[in-house]
Amino acid sequence: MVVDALDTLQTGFAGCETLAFADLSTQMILVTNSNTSSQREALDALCKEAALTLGTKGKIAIGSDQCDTAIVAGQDQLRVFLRASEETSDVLCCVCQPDVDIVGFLPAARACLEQISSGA
Amino acid sequence: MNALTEKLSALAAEDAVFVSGARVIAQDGGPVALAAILREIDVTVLERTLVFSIGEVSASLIVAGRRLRGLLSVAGHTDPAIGQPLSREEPETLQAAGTLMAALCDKASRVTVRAEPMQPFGKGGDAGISAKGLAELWSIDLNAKPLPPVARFLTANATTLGGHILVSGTEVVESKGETEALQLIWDEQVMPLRKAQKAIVSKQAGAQMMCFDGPIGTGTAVAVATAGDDACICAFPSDQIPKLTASWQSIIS
Repeated sequence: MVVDALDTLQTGFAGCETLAFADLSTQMILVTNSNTSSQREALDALCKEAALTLGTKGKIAIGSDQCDTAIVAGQDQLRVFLRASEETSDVLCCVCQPDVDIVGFLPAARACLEQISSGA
Repeated sequence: MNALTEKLSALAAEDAVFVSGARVIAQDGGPVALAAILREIDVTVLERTLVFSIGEVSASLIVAGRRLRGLLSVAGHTDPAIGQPLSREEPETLQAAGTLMAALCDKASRVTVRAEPMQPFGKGGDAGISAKGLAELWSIDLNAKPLPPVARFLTANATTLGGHILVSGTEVVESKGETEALQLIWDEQVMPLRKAQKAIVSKQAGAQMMCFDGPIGTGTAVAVATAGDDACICAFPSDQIPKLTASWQSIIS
């Protein structure tokens, strides 16, 4: 189940708080990790930020090509947005503490998204 | 009592950043870090043991009357200068202490300080050396200030960046490497992007870096960092995204 994959990723990294699997074409959060403390409004904003930073069909964030990874690194929070390689509307939105192990987290989050998106 | 003292110090220090109860005095290594240590000595009037965490190393210095009396201990080091009272009559010990402190500071990513009660050290007649005297002896500029966050980020990652533009206010203050695509993005896309993000994340404040993988071609990442009036846009290999994100986080934390 998707929630199990998200929970496994979340518990594997101290400082990882919220994981949300979303569909960018409808800009809807589909599943979150089971113990997220994020409210509905915060999740909606997270999905909007994913659409803004990764870009949607016909609307590129910056440059000339669509991105498959975007990171917003602030003083209080680190937000990571990943787009699946095959189903490009599938995205993983991650909210972490600033001191999360980003070097280990990024490849693990990517693997989690590809697993969910491919239905494996 | 110590916990209370630390809390009172934290309340008294405006804009100070604390890590595990210790005040951060430098986010860089090298002369800037050593200058920060000397400035702490210069403001310490009462007898104290100043415990500096210099990167991973803890060094306890005996300080009184704005003077350094000696190095009480340095974790993992057995330098002859450790435990010896500092005096101008012992120039070799004095220089050895300076060399040790400079080596500790050289590659430290962060320096913190914690004031602890005085511990027995040397003889009562050892006055030590003033911070200004040490600065002269060790060739340190006491007023050396760290670079602002965005400039520090660019300097720390200079060898990784393929190109960058540094902007202060509305003025471009530095442009290096391949910047043609970056300039175009900066001129046309960055401001609308930041406005759109602010509309979504209204609580976002302070320094921030937005990093994108592949906007100007596969294998190249682009980051836009802002802190205060300074901003930069830079390009680098995509596989360096984790490293540069971690670097930014360490600078602004």
